Amino acid sequence: MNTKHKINLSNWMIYIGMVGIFLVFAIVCSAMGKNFLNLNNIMNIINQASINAIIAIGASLVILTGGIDLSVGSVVGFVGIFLAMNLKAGMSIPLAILLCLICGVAIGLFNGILVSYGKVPAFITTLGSMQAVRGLAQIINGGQAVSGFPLEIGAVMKTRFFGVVPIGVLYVAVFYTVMVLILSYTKFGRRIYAIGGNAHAARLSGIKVKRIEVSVYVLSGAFAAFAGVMLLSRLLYADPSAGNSYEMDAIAAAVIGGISMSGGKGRLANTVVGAIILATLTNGLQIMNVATYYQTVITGLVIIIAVFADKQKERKAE
Amino acid sequence: MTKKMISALLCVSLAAAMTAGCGKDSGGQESGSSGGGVVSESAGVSDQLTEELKAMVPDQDYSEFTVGFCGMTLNNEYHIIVANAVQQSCKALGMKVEIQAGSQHQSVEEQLTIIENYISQGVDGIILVPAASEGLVSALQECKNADIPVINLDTKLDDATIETLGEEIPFYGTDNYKGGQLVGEEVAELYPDGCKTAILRGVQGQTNDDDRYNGFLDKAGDVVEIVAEQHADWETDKGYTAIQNAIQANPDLEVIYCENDLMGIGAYQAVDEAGLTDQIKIFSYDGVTEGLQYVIDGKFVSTCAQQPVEMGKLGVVNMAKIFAGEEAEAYIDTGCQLVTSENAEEVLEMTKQYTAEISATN
Repeated sequence: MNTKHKINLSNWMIYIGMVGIFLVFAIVCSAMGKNFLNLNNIMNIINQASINAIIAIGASLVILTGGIDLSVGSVVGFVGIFLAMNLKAGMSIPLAILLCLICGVAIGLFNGILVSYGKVPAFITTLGSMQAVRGLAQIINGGQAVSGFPLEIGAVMKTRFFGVVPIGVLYVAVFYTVMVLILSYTKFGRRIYAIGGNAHAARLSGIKVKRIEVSVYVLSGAFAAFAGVMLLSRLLYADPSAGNSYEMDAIAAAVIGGISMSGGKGRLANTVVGAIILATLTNGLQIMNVATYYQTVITGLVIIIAVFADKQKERKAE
Repeated sequence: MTKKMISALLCVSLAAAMTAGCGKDSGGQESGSSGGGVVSESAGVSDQLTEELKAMVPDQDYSEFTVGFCGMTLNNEYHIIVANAVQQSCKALGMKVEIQAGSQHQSVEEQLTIIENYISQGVDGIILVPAASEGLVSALQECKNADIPVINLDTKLDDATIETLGEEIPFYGTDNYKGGQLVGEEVAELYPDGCKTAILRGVQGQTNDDDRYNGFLDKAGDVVEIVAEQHADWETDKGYTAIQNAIQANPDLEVIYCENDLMGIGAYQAVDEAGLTDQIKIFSYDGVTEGLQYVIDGKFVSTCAQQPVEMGKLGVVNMAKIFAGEEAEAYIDTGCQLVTSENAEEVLEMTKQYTAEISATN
């Protein structure tokens, strides 16, 4: 269980990093007379992180097997339009959401089968489906945004428990808990790691590699579809370009969380923390009213620093 | 063997999915069809439009001419209206027209490709809505060398580009600086004692963004106190997050100026969630149908409406003049109009008529 030890070190580091970022913002913002560290803003941050966190959990599963899913941002955009159109046509909310999830599963199935059985590299497959799905999002309503659907769908994202805790926090908690349990306590979960570690060895030891590969893409597609539902109910406006570059945010969250791009290594908890760190950066810098250019530079640097620190820890552990 | 079959199956299903997508589309009521974009190929043209445009151009047969339209994108209503207006106007004059656009707001490279393709296809004129005010010099140079006239709509090419090119390019669009001034004046009038203001800006580096911003500041800069200013890239979700954070930083925020309606919609959702719709007022820009609806519902105080249909028509009319050997107008300000609750219904009705006139036959 040598590996576990390694991961634990980087595991702690990311929490320290997150707390560090929080403290820096808390000090700087309070010096500027702005409110950063209060309950409401912490809820804001987690709420803003929730959509990315859920996409990133799916993306992490794919990355753990050594793959990548670039299509998730387009799935978010497609699902938004599809859901809004269905609601506008009078479909009931649960059915409409279910259809969206089915779309996500279908796109994931398409990606997964091409990658595993078709042997097309994951990057190429999902790059292709990213474009195709974005195109479909524009085609189904002629490139037009959709509005004027019943606003009850807003409850999916706008509900707050006890008037404080946004429902987005709950979704992240549920998705995260379920996936962590699956990863740690089921054969399926351990096999995801095994494939990413060494697909050949996994195959030789009798693991049905292809089936597992397909299922991670399906999960990723379904999670992205759910994120699309969340985004629509947050904005109550469906725009075919919505979710643009969300795949990069999700990958960034996973990478900050220490998920190895070559697969087999990393913890889901850290991915969620990664998403929260990204949201914290945007939130804190915007509260300080830092110009947008600097925000992107700072976010980029944080990603690089996180991965660099992770690698250093790994090397020391070895 | 199985693998081959599976991949063949996948190809077929992909093709099927795409056909299904297109099929659904051509059956749809509001949308156009494939090809270059979403603008319908088979659309008919109203007699009214034909008469109106024919009266504006030299009387001759234009059926020999092909116009290539290179739009900024075809994924939002505003740009779709421009594209539709160009297409319908070309048809009204009997010209052939091709419609292509970048896939996002900033796709300069894609526009380069589109223009190069138009040149090699031998179109007779190009109507362009640039994705960025600079960066298209090489494409425009090629047009110049190939002797293909270019007309610039909506977003003005910047002076440096024109200078490098050494040739004036006709421009018809909104003077966004004036539009910004209109909004600024209104805010200054409603809040003579000043107010805490947040500004949501578009994509950094676009002239539209600078003009809408500077125009606003020109009239309201001395009155309002700007407490937050973020580039939300014209996008709804970024506008939402930016305003949520701005409210966190400034709970006493009173006014939000959004440089387009999409960001305004996101801003409103954030304000609504914070329960501050009474305290914070939103002033928007663009006048897309949803933006107008927001004004009617009292969610926006106003939106500054541009005239995309007018731009498209003028572009085609002046292109026809060039084809007929006449001079095109060098510059036309198509104007903009401040839409408030008083005239929003009326403007929405008119806009819908325009979109209806343009897309009803799809």
